[in-house]
Amino acid sequence: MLSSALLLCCFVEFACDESSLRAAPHGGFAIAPQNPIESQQSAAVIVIEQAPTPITLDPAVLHPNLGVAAQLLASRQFADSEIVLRAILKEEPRCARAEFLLGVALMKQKQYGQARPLLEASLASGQDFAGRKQVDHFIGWACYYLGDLESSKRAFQSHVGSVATADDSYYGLAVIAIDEDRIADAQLALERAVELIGQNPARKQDRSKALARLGDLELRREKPTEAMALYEESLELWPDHYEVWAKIARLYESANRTADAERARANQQAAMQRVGRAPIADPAP
Amino acid sequence: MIWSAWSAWIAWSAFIAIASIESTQSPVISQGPSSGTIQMDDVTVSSGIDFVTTSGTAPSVQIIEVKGGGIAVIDIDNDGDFDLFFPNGATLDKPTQGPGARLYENLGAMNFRDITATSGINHHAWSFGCAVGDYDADGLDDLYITCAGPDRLIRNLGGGRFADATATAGILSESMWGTSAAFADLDGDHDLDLYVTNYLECDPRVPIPPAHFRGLEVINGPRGLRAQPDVIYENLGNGTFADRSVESGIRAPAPSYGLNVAILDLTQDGLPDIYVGNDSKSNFLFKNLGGFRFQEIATRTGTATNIEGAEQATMGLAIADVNGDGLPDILSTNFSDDTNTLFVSRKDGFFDDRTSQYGIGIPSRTLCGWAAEFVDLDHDCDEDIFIVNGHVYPQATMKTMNSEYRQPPLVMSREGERFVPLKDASQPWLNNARRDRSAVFVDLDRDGDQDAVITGLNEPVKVIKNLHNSIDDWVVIALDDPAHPGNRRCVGARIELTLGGRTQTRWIIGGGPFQSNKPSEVHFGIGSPSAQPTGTVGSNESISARVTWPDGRHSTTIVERGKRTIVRAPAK
Repeated sequence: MLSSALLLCCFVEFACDESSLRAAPHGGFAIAPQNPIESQQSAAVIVIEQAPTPITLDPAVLHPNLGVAAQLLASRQFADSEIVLRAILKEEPRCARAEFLLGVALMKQKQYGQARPLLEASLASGQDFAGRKQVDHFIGWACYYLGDLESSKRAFQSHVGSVATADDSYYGLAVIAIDEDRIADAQLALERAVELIGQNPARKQDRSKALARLGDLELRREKPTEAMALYEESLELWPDHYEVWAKIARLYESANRTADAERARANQQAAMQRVGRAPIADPAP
Repeated sequence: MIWSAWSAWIAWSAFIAIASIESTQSPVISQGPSSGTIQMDDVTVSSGIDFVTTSGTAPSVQIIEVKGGGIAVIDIDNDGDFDLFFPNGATLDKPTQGPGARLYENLGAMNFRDITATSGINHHAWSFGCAVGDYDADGLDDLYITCAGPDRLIRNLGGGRFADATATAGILSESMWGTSAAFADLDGDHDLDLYVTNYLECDPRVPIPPAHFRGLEVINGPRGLRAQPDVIYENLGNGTFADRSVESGIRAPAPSYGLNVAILDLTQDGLPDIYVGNDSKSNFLFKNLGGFRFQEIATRTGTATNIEGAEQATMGLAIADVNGDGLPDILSTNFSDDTNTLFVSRKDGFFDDRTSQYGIGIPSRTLCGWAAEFVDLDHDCDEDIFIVNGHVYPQATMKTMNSEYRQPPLVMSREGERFVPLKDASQPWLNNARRDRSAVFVDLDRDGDQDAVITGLNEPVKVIKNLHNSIDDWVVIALDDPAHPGNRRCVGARIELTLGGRTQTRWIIGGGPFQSNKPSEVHFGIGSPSAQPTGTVGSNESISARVTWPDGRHSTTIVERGKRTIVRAPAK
């Protein structure tokens, strides 16, 4: 059983899919987003693990229900976690860890506008809390989805500066570089992310995402053959990555491989069904 | 190994450094109204355009209340300036008895006069879009109005008078919810056919139950509601139309939620094609097969969805040659938490999604985009982007939906290969958050630059004057083909303006910004000769305009700086 004092929330981001709870490297739990995310929307996977050593926290900002909230987050019950965390903050408005976890819970529900000030407040509190080092990562993505690339960039850079293995913040920097059409920078950041992800062969989806982005870069360089190879490799790792099916379908189509394009689009639709992203059906005629 | 790791670290450090340097770059700030700067001003109060549009009541509770009404740019009396028509909406309780459409006569110098009462236009049905074209070839532009219910065709009688010609022209439209419409000669017989996009089944008097979004009860639709099919009419050349929706092939795909239409040659075969922007569903590209037959090829050409296969909202469409290859590219505006999309055409007929490359995406993430247009606001030889915005859900805030309900326009200045959002606190119109929907861009005061007229939901119409004041850094070209009075203004023509070795391309397209039309002339910013060294763009060289006429003929004309030139079609 995990007690709140021993819970350390740190990040692993990346995954965009995932189906269910999976074991984290150090015996904790990793959770995927409640809903698979569109495109670059790599909402974080949260790893909640037992801290290797007890950490000292200000008792005034601890709350017995923090563990409950963390467990709800770990079990992908983001709305319930939000309720618990809001209740905690009502009692203990200075609890930076609650602000942080609430920020994460809101991000999982795509409420980036609400999440950002909470995450920033948790950092500004000056409190030392479990997961503090990862806050910048979440701020990076919140800012990205709010269209604030400069703040996003600063947050990701801060994160990779303090957490050497922050593969998803490298990935975030790559996504920003793509949006800014800095292709060489994006390549460099993605290669770094791939290198870090490669240290854990089980992280197929994360690797798939990075490969797809590398494919995007080849497409930008007008190298469709190279892009296609990367998309295919990405899909082998993660067949539910429906956006990549769409990308490869376009490539097949533009290469006059109509049958392959149709198959890819069928796979896209099937993948969307599998991950619960199929659009609302049309009314019956 | 060590060297490799060290190299990687150096490279990574360089990346961080580069990223930091770039982060210090800020968008262009206007310093004054000369070439290369954008400066505009809200002149609504002095313009004489003094009315507030109606689109249901605030706050909106039904989907029909959130689309707003478009604007028609029409020279009603052939006096060479553009007058303005607003179809206007109504309310849920009285959907056919709204305050009525308005017609404003352009008096020059940015002054307008409401002539609705004397015009004979007595139109009060809940209306959305409009199209302009001389359907009966009598030398006067007419109006088509899309409505919640049967659409209306309003014939221009001359002398500032109009009359309803819907029935006599054979427009027997079903009672649908029309959004945008476009006139164009689709079958090459030199008269104007008509395409109408329809949205979804909706009786304003029967409330649609709400939906839920982000934990809030919100307006329902369009997904889950029954889409209505588009309509295409063939002009029979005798002042009447025939509905060709079924036999033309445009009904082959299932009905969708049509919002926008642009008609021009997108498939490089000389025939005008029809691009339809559908809300939350794949867009249509109807390739013109000739003989009034069309084939839907959007998926095959990469124009149905964005690169990730997302069916976007496509609430606005704009066409321009973004990469200077002479081919038309497509910009679509979309919902918040999504991005606007730029499709760039390739020579093989496929369109690539180049949204990120041109900087289109991220600035639009928190915006809900509607009417959009490419327009060279600062006359620096490239087209900027002007988009009006506003959310559909009154509950929208940054906290609840990562997007505010009222939103300012997004003006993106073309800077090299990127579009950069214009930030300028000294220009109030640029920071005025509204619930805008439609906009047109036209030289209202004939000073050579492009002004804007904007409509929103239950908002005052806004007239935004372009303050650019150079007299010699622009060219306007209108076309005239007197031998073919049915398409005298030459919808479907292509104009290439060449100066200093650089060519800019424009099209006279059917359709226009959301629920509105484009003026029947094209505008080019060409830079000031005094500001450019000899031999470069903007230097004092001859300016040639090569026209590809709708029937495929070509002609080349030398045009003058700072002048509006009417180019007449060559004799056959």
